Amino acid sequence: MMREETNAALPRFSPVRWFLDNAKWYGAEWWITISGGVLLVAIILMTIFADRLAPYDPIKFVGAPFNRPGAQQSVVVLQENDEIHGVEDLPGHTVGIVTNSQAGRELDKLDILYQDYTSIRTAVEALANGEIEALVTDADDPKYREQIRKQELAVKTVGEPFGDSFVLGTDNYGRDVFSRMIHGARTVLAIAIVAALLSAGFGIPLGLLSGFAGGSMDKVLSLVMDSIYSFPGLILAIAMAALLGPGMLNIAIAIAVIYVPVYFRLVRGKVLSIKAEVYVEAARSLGASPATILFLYVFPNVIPSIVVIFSVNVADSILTEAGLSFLGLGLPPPTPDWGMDLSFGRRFVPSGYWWIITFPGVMIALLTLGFSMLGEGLNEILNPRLTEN
Amino acid sequence: MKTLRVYIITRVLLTIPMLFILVTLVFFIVRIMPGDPVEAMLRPGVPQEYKDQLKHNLGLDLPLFLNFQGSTAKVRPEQLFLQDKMGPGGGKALLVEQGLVMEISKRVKEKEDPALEGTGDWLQVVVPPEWTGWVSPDQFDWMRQVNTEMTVEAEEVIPGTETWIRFAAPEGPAGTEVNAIWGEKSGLLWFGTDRGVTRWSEAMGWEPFADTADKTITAIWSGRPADLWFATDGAGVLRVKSNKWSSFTTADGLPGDRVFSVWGKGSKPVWVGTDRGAAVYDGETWTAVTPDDGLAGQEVRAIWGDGKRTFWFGTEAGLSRFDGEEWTTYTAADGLPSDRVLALWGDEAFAKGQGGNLWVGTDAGLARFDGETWTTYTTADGLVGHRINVIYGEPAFAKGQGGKLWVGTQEGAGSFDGQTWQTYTAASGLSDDDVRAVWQDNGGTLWLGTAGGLNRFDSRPWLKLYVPEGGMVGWAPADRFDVKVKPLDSQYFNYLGDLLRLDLGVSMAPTRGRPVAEDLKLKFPATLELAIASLTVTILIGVPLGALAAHKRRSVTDYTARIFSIVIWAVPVFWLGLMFQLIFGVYLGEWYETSAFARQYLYPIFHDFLPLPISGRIGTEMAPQHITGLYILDSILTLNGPALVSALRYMLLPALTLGLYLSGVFVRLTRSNMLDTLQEDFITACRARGIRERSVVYGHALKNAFIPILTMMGLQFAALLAGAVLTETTFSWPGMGLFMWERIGYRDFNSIQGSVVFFAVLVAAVSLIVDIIYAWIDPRIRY
Repeated sequence: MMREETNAALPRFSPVRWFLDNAKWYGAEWWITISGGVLLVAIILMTIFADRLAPYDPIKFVGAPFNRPGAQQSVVVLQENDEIHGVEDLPGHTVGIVTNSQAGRELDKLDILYQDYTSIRTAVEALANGEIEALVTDADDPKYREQIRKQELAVKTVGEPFGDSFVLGTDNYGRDVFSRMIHGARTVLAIAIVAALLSAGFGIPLGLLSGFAGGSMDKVLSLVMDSIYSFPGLILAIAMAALLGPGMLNIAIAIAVIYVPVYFRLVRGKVLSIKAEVYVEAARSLGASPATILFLYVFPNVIPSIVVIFSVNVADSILTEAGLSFLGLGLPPPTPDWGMDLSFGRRFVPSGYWWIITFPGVMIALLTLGFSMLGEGLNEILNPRLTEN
Repeated sequence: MKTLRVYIITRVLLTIPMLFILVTLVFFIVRIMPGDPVEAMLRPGVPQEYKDQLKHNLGLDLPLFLNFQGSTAKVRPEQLFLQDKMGPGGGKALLVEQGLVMEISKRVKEKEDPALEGTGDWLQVVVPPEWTGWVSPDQFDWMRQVNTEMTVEAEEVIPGTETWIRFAAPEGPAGTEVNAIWGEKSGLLWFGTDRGVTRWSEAMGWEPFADTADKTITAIWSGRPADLWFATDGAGVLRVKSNKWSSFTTADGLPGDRVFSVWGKGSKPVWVGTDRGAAVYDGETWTAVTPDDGLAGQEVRAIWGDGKRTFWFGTEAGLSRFDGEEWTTYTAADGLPSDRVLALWGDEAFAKGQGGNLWVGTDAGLARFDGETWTTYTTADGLVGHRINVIYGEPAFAKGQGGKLWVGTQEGAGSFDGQTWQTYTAASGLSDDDVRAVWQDNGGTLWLGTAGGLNRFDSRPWLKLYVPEGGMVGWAPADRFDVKVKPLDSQYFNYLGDLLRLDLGVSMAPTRGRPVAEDLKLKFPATLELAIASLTVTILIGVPLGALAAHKRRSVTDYTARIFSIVIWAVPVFWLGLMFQLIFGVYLGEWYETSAFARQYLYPIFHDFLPLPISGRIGTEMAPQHITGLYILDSILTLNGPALVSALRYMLLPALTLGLYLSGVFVRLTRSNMLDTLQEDFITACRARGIRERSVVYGHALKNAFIPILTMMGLQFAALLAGAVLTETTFSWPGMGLFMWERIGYRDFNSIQGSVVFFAVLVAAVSLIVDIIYAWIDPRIRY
């Protein structure tokens, strides 16, 4: 065994090493499967309970644009101001906000009058020269802090932070990023799974037929499938998506087309090798009909490979769907969709609004990771011969 | 090495059908896309003809796959007019010469369309590029928008090309039945219709008079400017004087309210003809004149005055002449074709009493009266119909200086130049056979009022054009052509043929006409540069990490490397790019500019190299002289320092993104290959000889594991290209991926096809090379 050779030099007992050495199950590294599975269960639960989990409607403009994650509004006054001790003292004083910020919405709710300033800079200047007595703003906003520092202002934050807070912030339209993230899982999962099912539905029968029947049909089918397989899938999917137009099923079909050859090649290869097995030979010599051989002897032995490839394929489909949406060929807005959120959010990268693009991307990565790890783990469990050493 | 040669040949031969299948697949996917470049490019409201010609020029009007009608037609007669519509109603649009070969774009059988009965089958043909020929002015108007390079070679009136232009409300008179036309010297034209009076002027266009909409106008006469008289059928006489309308009915002394004719001399007297006799207006009162006073009949259909004091009255019982004192009557017995006189017109000489002719229209033909004798013209002489509605002489004819006499009958209009008759009917383009009014305006344009609408006679000169792009479409009867069938003339086969000639076609939009190959030549180096740079990153990260993981098997390093490879594969490449833009472009940039630390310690090293740009390929106007198109290579070759620095700055983030994305696969690949190699006997032998472990693993083992890694690199090429599309979009990298994505929006079929096919050939070529190398290294593959 390799392990003895390479690790022989380690005399000390280490719990990490013990864990890594024993983290196997039937020769497979179960931590991959388990982590993938846990991730998937979590995300699937999330999609099921999306309506309850999401605090806001994913397509409604529930807040002001570009709210930072978790930000709440604070009342800021000059240090010498002793009259205002919190938001409840604001009525009767001149209050300033930055136009189109969450502060305005909160003050409207409280029926407090305020003055609008077009930027944080002008608002802070107004506070400094006494135009306003209090400024309501997100006191943790780096841009605000920078202005305070630049203008060397002696200010204090009074009272408790108040108002709506958006866990992961809001996007450029004031939609809740968190709610969109949760609802986006539904869209992506539905499309990816339907796409994988479609390509399996076409690829598997064709592969079985081609591998089992052989002959010129096999040659032609293999040639066609190989041609599609060798081609950059995303480019084909782009063309297909542009051809079919937006819509859940259309995107799924566009993605499915490029993955049919994956199933076809796998199933055909498996069928070819199983056909040569002795037990098939035995069944044939006992007089089993071709249909019996195909469905009772060959097909059941192909299933483990299909399960594995299906899982990996869903992961692929998720990435392709995200790519299509990112290129603007996905679902029409305002459907929550991670790829689309990224494609809209990228315009705000130069402004540094990181939360708009970070979370959808993380979710795509996590979901893909779930499926690919599950697939990888299943592969080692279901096809033990393929494991290393 | 014979078997290797055989393998290479079979492998190459297999690539051809694979490429063919891909090319076909791509073609159909692209061409079936909803929308087309013409619609995507043009604003709404562009005329259909314009779109049709553009589509033809781009070859988009051909069937997709098989085109059994895509035959050619060769013109048989010496000269052939192509019409803009098929059938007798079509106007002449183009004049083509004998022997011209044109494509057939449509064929309509006689029995398919009842309007074509008796005319045989019709073909729609398309004029080829580089064509020189005669084009009607109408056709020219819109062609000018399509073919910017057309040149006009000559201008000429071609006999037989005259057409009748139709007018209908709102761009025309209010009613369909145009009974009377009168033109003023100022250029104003007055039209009397069954829905009142409409006025036309160049400045104001068509102006219907709503007050008159319920009246049927039967005749118009004007003796001086801005003073017009209108005869109405049932509502007496209308007069407009200096824009003020007044009317006269039986209450004012008219014998009847059905007025058929009006004529006068200056402002007075004005004669009107009604169904119950005539009446004369002296400026204040109307005096009725009936058959008892000497009028031939009581239904006065026509009046003509010589402008002095003699007036002629056409009635159902003969022609009456009134010289102010006495009535004279002429009937069929005197030489008139019939007693029923319907129209009158006299020329200037007759009016002055110096010879000349009075023309009298009856329900049985036309008569000419030279003061003494009557000459008759009937259908036998070439007159178009026997029942005459109106007679009108062009001003030149009235002066006896050429010109034509026009006769409107119920069977069409006829023109007489003194010798021969020409006829114009609905078949030659008139709105209706029943011609009610004729007028020639100041500009010499002839207007014809019919029961079916107003027509203008168009005899503008035709233009001889040189048309570089061709593509105008015309109709002509099928029997005028020799037809040759050409079944493979379809979009698909043309495309295949072009591909065989290595011609990717021209862009369809938005850079219409630019060869796709030019664009690819420009964009491919960008993609290639990105691909090379990211492959470098991939190998620099993936191979050492994989080797390390294999070496330190089942250690924390190994698991970290493996988790890295799994995670990085699952991360969308464009998101990775966005994150890099955010971190290295935006945040690093902010920090680099504001932080004192960066100012003091980093700036002296990096200067303007940081922050990294997040979009584009090189700084503005920094591009090095074009040698290979790879900016980094070019700037090194031309020793262009600033360009090299700029190119590297722009290259860093995209290459890192794509390289990192692909490195996951390489970590796995190297790891598993190294594990295999480390188990081989020669490694054990090396170790037994006491060679240092590091040298064994990274020297001997890695070198041996590297060959399959290199070949696997080829298999990652497709993934690289797919990743390049997304990376290029993220970083606005002007490569083929971005190009293709942009052109999909424009439905620029040729550009999309061209770039996809280019991708396909590239992938096929790379996998071919990889397979051959692999077969060369590992002979077992060949079997």
